[in-house]
Amino acid sequence: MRFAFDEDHVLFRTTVRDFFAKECTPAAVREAWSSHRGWSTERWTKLAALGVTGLTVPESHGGLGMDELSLVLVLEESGRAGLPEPIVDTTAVGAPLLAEVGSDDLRERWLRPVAAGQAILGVGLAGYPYVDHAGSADLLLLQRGDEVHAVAPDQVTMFEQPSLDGARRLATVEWEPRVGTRLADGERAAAAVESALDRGALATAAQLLGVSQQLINLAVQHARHRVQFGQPIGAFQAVKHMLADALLRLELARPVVYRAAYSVARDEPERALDVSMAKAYASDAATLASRVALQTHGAIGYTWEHDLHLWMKRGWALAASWGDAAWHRARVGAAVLPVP
Amino acid sequence: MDFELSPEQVAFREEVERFLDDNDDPEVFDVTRENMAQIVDTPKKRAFMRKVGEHGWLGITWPKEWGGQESDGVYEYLLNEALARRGGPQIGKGVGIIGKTILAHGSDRLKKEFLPKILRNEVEFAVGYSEPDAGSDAASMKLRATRDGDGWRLNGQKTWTTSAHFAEWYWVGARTDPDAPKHRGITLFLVPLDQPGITINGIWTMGDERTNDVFFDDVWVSDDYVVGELNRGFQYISEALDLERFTMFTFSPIEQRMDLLRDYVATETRDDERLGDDPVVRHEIARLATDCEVARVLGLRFVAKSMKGGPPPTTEASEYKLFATELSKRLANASMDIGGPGSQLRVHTEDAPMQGRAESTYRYTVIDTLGGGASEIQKNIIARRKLGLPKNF
Repeated sequence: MRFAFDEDHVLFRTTVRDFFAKECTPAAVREAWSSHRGWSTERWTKLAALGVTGLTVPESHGGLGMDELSLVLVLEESGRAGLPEPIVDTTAVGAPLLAEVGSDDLRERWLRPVAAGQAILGVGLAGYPYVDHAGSADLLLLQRGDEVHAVAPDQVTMFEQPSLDGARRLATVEWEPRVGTRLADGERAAAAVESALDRGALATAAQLLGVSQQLINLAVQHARHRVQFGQPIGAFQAVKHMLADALLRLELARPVVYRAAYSVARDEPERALDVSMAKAYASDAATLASRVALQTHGAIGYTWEHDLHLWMKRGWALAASWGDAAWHRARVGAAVLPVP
Repeated sequence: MDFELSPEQVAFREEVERFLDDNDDPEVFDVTRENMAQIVDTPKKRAFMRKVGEHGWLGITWPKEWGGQESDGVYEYLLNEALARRGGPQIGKGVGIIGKTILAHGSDRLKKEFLPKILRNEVEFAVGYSEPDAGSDAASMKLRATRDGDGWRLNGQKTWTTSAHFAEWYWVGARTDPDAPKHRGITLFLVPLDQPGITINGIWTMGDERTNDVFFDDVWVSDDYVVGELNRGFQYISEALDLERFTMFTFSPIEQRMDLLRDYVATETRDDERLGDDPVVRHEIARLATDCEVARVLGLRFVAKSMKGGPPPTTEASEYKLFATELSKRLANASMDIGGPGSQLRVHTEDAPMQGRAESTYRYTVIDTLGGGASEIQKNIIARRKLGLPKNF
């Protein structure tokens, strides 16, 4: 056993972190919120050049062919930076789903552009119907009953579902399933959907780690500098304990998320259980970090001029996405104590 | 002990409800705005509050000499909660803070000028205690007032003055004696907001609401508009804050969200199971419902205690504010969690559960555990005043 990442994983993370520090500043995130599509094609193309967009795409289709153990660290960094680009739906969920059930034709047609950052994917499952960036997706992978379909955006009707997070452009889609769009049905489709849901939950859990870390970092920075009653507020026990609690919750979530990444990468039998534990814990950690960071900041924290709300809203939105904490805890409950 | 309202109080509540039915208007009442709904910031809301005044319901507890009815505080409580339940403007600042402080400490001149206007809702106030460097540490405010002729010159900055961009008068604390201990050198002033030298800059919040920075550049104010005694301002502010902690953080919106959440889990199904049949959800609902009842009774205790006359029940106000706002936050967390993926959808989106209140509450109630004194400040007040523990943050 070796509970640590390889040097390559860590190196890749460092590269991505440096990239985000330069290219995905809080100002850039704000710009995305107010932009038409909610994300930047330019930054996505640059991410493609680093190999990020095609990280899960097989090498035969122009990707890096890496697994979730590499992806999880990148996703964590993307959460920390508040990345508005569709990395969860396209890279973490869409590409593996297409690789798994797509026809040779479809794989050939879409995976290379995905890896090159020239196409993005939208994913809509029955269990999580809000398709992120649906309006700018080039191909939609949609579940209907026990079938999975690949549908062109011009074949669906989209209903915008405005999210509290300005960089998430959610929509529900209505469409008519056709034989020509069907990728899988029956057990094969059910397994693919299960796997997609787990990948989405894992990806958002990983992003939530980064979001929580950023929330705590901002709060700690503030607590060190903000003076009240003649001292930095970080000197007061009430503030220290609050921040320590938030950090502890995050540190507890982190290994569970990494463990879930391992289970997804190896498709372990305990995959669903591990993912649900991770998502439930990461959602709770982010919710707490959000509340604590705001309380530490005081009123400045809920103003638009301060960056804090960008991460608070991302945290709340991700906590509610791909199964919220309650849903995942219920799944844990069903797994550890099956109904007779 | 009697937990029931008297027949007179029940009749009053019914009269208020009828009045609100007759004046129902979505531009006046909006439950999704939560705390910010109480602000009287539009002509329609002003007109509505004037009607409330015509009914004799503003300053209902004030002395008859000054146009009040000398009624028990429970009537004001019933009125305010009824307004809050519909997301309407509330009696807040004019009656609850400025009027009461002027009645207790103001000169005859201030009483004659302001009290009748307050009762007719002909004037809006902004309250200026907070400054960029003095948030929780309110006594360390720096806005400077220096002697000049028959009055004072004010220089400096206030922040978080929510009503400054539409109010006429500014109720503001300034430092008149920089050499005194920090809480003994502050004086309260009433300043017209349309004076030269006052600059108001908007700050927009997560709840999509506007609050303001207010800058003073050599703003002159006459001695006539000094409230109470010189250098006693912080004492008046502290008394007013005790009132504010109770009246500004109404219970009705919490109760209403509890009802929404309960109705939601009673009817909504997930994975073919009714949410309300899930023991974990039931446990959470039971706990929150219990806490709501605790907050309600705690509020009633404050009302009962404040009716006996004498000084405002200060630690009770802090206990209520602390518990009610932390509960409000936990209720928001639970609504988000139990509301599932739709709870990230913005208010007024068709699919958003609980009328979109899961999301809107999360944004609008961020002020709860900070405004009117952060939760940590309430704990300090309780520890010092009730337990007699030494002063420390």
